[in-house]
This record gives sequence, structure tokens and C-alpha cells, in this order.
Amino acid sequence: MHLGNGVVCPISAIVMFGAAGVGTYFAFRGAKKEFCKDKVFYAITLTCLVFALQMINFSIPQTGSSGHIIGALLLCALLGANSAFLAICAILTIQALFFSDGGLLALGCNIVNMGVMTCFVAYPFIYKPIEKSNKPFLAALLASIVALQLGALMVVLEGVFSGSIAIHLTAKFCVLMQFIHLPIGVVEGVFSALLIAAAKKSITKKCLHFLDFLLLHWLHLLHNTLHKSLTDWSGL
Amino acid sequence: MNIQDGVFMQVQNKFYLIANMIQNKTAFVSNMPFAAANLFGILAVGLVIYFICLFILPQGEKISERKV
Repeated sequence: MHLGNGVVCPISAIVMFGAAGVGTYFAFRGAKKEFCKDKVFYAITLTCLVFALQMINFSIPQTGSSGHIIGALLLCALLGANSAFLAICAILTIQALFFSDGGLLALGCNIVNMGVMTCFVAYPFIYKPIEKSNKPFLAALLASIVALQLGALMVVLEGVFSGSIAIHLTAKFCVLMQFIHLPIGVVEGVFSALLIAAAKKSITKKCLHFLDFLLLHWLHLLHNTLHKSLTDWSGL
Repeated sequence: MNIQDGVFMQVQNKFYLIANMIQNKTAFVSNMPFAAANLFGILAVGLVIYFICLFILPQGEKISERKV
């Protein structure tokens, strides 16, 4: 679903950058209220996991294309919508800058398609109400499918507004995009549901805390080494 | 005062050129082996989230005060 530079026109890109900027501003405000220091290393570990998962592509039969999970719903369920949105923004920016995965001009579009649609539409309006009725698996499955379908619809709309998709082909392209993203949504839903269920088990929590512990000590070591080298270098 | 299509196309091409030029300079990781690139990406994402966390933590809370 990562759009490249050539797909969106500058006007669409600027509008979508604006939308992504507004989303980021509200996510920062929301995250400041709901975030606490105990979540820091948990957030880092989960975001790194989602980044690694996004690198794994699976082929979709009959279409000749491939897909990968987004992981935004997983982050939403475990960190909260605002922190998850910021994490997705970070992942997409790193992918665009260092991996050429998605265009820099289309970064706003990609953030809206994958971040806003999942964190601020599918999660609060589909996942949360269904999860409250004690059906977490169904909630994750439906929310993932809806988020992917909305994202695919947004891709088509952005393409049409930018002029890269001919108007008479809109319906055909829309059907194709929805069809391609349906199996990705199902796989993502099942995967997210399993991971969310696993993350809420105490044994997984202990493993994650152990990973946090390792990460914390590694960062302390890095900090001390950097500090020592800087002190040696400056001769103080 | 009408902007002609040609001018619009030129501006659009400039945008694409600038975006591609920046990405060509920064996307050195895509030339690395898959495992190394993945590791680099994970570290980069971890660091970005670490700094975001520093910024969004409520005032007075410090990561170093955390009891493991």
C-alpha cells in the first residue's frame, strides 16, 4: 500500500501532508495524557517488532502481487491509538527515507492510508465496541479488514484526484484494490488477534519485560560508551 | 493571469525531482544486504521511538528513574 512519488500530484501531497500533520498534532496531545514511563521500552520493542514484520512479504494468489501486514491495529490494542499512530508515522518515515519504500512526496498519503484509517477510524469505531462485547478475535479480524479496505479506497481516491488513475477506470481499479487487500486484511486480523491474545498472557508479559530489561541495559551501555568517547575526544 | 498547463507540469516535475533526489541520497540502506538493512531499520525505529517517548512523557517523568 506504500504509494510512490509518481502516483500523487503535489497538491494532493500537500493536502495529505496537512491531514497527517493534524493527526500527528492530536496524537502527540493525546499521547502526552495517556503515556507513562513504564510504557517506553514496551513501545520501542513493539514498534521494532512491527517494523520487522512489515519487511516480510507474502504473495497473493491469482493477483500477481504481494502484501505485508501493517501492524497498526496491534500497536493500537497494546499501546493506545495515539502512541500507535506516532509509531506508525516513525516506521513509515524511516521506510521512505532509508529504504525508498514509499515516496517522500507521498509520505502524507501513506500516513493517512495506513495510520489514520487504522488508529482513528477502525480502532475506535470497530475494534473497541466489539472487543467490549468480549469478542477480541472477531474485533481484530473485522477492524483489520475494514482498515485495509478503507486504506485501499483512499489510495484509489488519491490516485484519481492526482490524475494518475483515469476516471473511467476508477471503479475497476477500486474493485481490484479491494480484492487484493481483502486477504491481507484477513491475515493481518488473524495475526493481530493471536499476538494481542499472546501479549495479554502473563508469560509473554514476562518475556517482554525481560526484553525491556535487556534494551534498557544496552542503551545505558551505549550511553556510557558514547559519553566516554566524547569526553576522551574533547580532552575534558 | 492564467497559469498554463506547461508551467504547472514543470512545477510538478520539480517536486518529483526534489523528492527523488533526497531519497536517492538517503536510501543507502536499500543497497545493503537484507539482514543488515533490517537491523539498521530496527535500530533507527527504536531510536526514533525513544526520542518520541522522551518528548511525550509528562513533565517530571524521566526514563532513567524507571525501576526494572
